[in-house]
Amino acid sequence: MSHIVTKYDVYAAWEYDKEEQDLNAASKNGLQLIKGGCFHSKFIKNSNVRYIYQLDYNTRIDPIRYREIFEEQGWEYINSTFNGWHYFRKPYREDMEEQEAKIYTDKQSLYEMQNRWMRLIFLVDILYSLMSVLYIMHGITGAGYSILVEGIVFGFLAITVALGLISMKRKRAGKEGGFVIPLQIAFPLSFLILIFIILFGF
Amino acid sequence: MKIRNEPLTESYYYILLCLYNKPNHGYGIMQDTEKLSGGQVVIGSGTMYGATSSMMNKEWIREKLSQNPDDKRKRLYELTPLGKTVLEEEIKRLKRLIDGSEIVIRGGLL
Repeated sequence: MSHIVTKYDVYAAWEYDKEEQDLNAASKNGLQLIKGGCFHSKFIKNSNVRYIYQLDYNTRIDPIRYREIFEEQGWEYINSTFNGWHYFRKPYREDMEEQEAKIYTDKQSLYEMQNRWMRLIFLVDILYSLMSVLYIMHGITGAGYSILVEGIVFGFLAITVALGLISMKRKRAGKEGGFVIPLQIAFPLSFLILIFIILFGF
Repeated sequence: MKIRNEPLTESYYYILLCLYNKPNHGYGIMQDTEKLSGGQVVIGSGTMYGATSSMMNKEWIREKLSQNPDDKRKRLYELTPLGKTVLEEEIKRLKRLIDGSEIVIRGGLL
């Protein structure tokens, strides 16, 4: 069908607010999200409506009660991703109050939501760091260049993720996000290098 | 069970307060909160889901199905005896704060 548009936009978890802004902008331009995803999203073309979008992260929900609470405040549930992100939309009005356009209306609950995924990402980061140190040590003590390069790749991933988390913490403290390595480049590049090494190890 | 004495957030406080006299549904809690706070406190859906889930875990509130056939919203929340104590303790704590503040402001102490 020609009026369905698929976009292959990938966002890091720490860019979830940017994803919301991009969805709002797309809606203003006549592209209405119908299915959000981690690797691709589907939109339908319709310039007669405009929505605002919100993302929630929660892996432990009672689905019926969860949707009820959003629907009674005018949030239409769109879909959920496999890893616990939920997409909601509400028709846009010009005189909308800021609180009406947000699903988290106090800092504590917003931070609780962010902490849920930040904790998980922090664990992943520790894993990458450990792998990096182990591989690099192993590599320089004679295991060969392949292992050393793999160690460097894991180190690069660890730094990418750490910078993302740091930028999130800075934003929370009311500062600018600071320097981040785009996940959209860092991850594909790292996996290409790892696959290359596995296939043609040197 | 020992009752935690740490301050409640405004959202938690208003949710408990809106259930003090009778069970209420989520939307009712939101509307009553807005009214009681003169429009200052709005409880968004994400905040409401998180707060109600957490307070159900702590057994401060529980779900109750409405028996009224005219009720469009069947899911009500009600205060448990523990939740009632938590709220009353918090009101006492807040009152102490206000009483102390007024004494100081009127120059009575310090």
